[in-house]
Amino acid sequence: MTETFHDGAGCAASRPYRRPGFMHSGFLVSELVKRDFKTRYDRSVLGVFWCVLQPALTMALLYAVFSLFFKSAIPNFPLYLISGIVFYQFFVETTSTALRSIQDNAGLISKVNVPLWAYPVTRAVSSLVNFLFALLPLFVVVALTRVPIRPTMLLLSYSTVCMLAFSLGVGLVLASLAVFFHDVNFLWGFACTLFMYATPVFYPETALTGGHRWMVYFNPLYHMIHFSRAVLNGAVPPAVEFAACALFAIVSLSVGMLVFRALKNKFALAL
Amino acid sequence: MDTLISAKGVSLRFSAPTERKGSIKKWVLDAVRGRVRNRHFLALDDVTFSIRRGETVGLVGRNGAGKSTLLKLVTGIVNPTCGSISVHGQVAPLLALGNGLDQRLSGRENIYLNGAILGYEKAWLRAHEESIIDFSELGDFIDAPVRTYSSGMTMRLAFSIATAATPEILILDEVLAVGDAAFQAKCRVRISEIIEGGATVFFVSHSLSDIRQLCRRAIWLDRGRVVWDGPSEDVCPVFENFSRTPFVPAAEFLPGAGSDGTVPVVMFRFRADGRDLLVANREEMCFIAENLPMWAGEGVAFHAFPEARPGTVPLFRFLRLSDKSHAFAAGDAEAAPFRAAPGEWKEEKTICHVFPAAASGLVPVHRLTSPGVPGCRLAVGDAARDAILAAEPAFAPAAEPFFVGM
Repeated sequence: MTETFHDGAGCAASRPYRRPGFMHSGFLVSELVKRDFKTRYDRSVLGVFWCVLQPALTMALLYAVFSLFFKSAIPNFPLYLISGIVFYQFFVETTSTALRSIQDNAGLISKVNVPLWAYPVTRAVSSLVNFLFALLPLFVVVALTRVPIRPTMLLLSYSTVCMLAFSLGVGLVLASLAVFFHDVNFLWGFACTLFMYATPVFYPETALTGGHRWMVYFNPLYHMIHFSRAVLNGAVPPAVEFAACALFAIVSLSVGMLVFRALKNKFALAL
Repeated sequence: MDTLISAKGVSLRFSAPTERKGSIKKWVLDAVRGRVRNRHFLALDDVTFSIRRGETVGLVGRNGAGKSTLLKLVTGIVNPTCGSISVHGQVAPLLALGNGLDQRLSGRENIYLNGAILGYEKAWLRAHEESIIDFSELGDFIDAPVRTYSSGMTMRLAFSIATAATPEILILDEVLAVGDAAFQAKCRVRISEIIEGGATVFFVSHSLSDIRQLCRRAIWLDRGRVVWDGPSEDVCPVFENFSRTPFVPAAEFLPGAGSDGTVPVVMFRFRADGRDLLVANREEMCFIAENLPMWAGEGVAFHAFPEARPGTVPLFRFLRLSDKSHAFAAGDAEAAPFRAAPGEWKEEKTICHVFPAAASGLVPVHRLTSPGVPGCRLAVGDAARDAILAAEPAFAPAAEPFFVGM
């Protein structure tokens, strides 16, 4: 988040208002993200620990169920499983919270002229922070399964950025459409389930063979999760994998921004 | 850059709520059936005004007149369907008193959240945090969650945050009804300070005394159109009179009004100086409105005719405000332009009628029919004798109802 450039009270007092434009909205987004975090676990006993507990519990549950089926087919099944879950959850959380970002802030949007992109972007940033918390149990699994820590694991940040951009792009489209068609809320829940089964999150990639391979090639989630798993296993993915992740991210974000920009002026009246 | 807010022919069209496409299925079905209906509602209709630096302008009008919509245009939340609006300067909206507060956060956290939403700088907020808390009189409660506050405390906090800075353009939408009497007085002082600090203020309130006290100028909106833009001492009392008049369908208000659009008109009277025309209820012989520069609703009308000659009522143009109410405007177009009329007024066909009875200062005008309804015409006659003195089929001028702005 950006820091303010004035800090002396006298200086700051001379200009109370934020200058318009993208670069000067950092404080707004940071306050909105802070609000998300402070309120998400409001009145829960464990509070922010849920960020870590949630992916850990999901992994434990899925591990208990699916280790019966796939354990032998996949080396280091716990790591395979938790990396898939963490990235899949990152996608689902970003898209489905961004989806509601405009509707949820209807009261504000129809009253205060705030840069509208701040709402979906805030949701994406919140999801990113959640994702970073979820990396904690992931690296616990890395340590427990005695996977050596290598500097190439820093490439995980590449797939994270791609996933963030891709999810935000999808989220922007969904948020724009959801203002006009509330059906999107329900359809997207279904679409997420579809993605869960179409992506090798808990089953081995080898399960999709022959006629089902296309499902993998055209599935952005597959490429990003596949990339991350390769990195975690100590490999440096081939250039084509870098390109595939970047392509999906850039296309999705561009489309998202175009759709959002085209529709944003109609939000206040439609809400 | 003397003019801070300038609206030129601004209209805003809403889709009627009944035809809102809430689902894809409905939208697709309608599209397939070729029935994507476009029934629209004009929230603002050709609004033109400009506000100069340092002016304090009150906005009055009944519920649904378009006041809040106009403020949304000024703050840039919505864009006009046609026309243009330009705003120079930092706009601080008070539209959303309490809207940006999160119930689950503490008062102090909300200062930063709401401050960020209102567009304040972080460093500036940090420097002014204590003065905001002091003004809100919340004391130690500032670190308690807002959900534990009373509604008065919440509004006090919101007001303190919203008025902490002095913006170039301040927009106030019904914000003086905050807290108890003591705090309200404090709010008025703060608003006055901001006004005296040179801010341009756009103020919406149902409290006409506040408007008269704080604003020199007032704009009266009705059904999305500017009825009167003038000094608040002139506009407020007339609006007050107007708003107290309950809406009465023409048929009830004017006995004898027919379903064919005919409205037996009430009484006109010249004042002795020949400058004013009043409209009264025929039955009660009481004057319904004065000092209204134009027709503006059910049975409320007034025109000033500087050049009206005794006994002469030049009729100008028919005004139909809604399906249920009719009125007409009168004036002397040839002698002088109508005081409250826009340029296109002069293009109207005018007819003059001489009424014998007008010599006494009373002009019995009688039956008006809507030119908007095919086959109808405007006629003037004597109600008492039920005789039409003059009829003018050629009169039917404007197919569209007109409205006069300044």
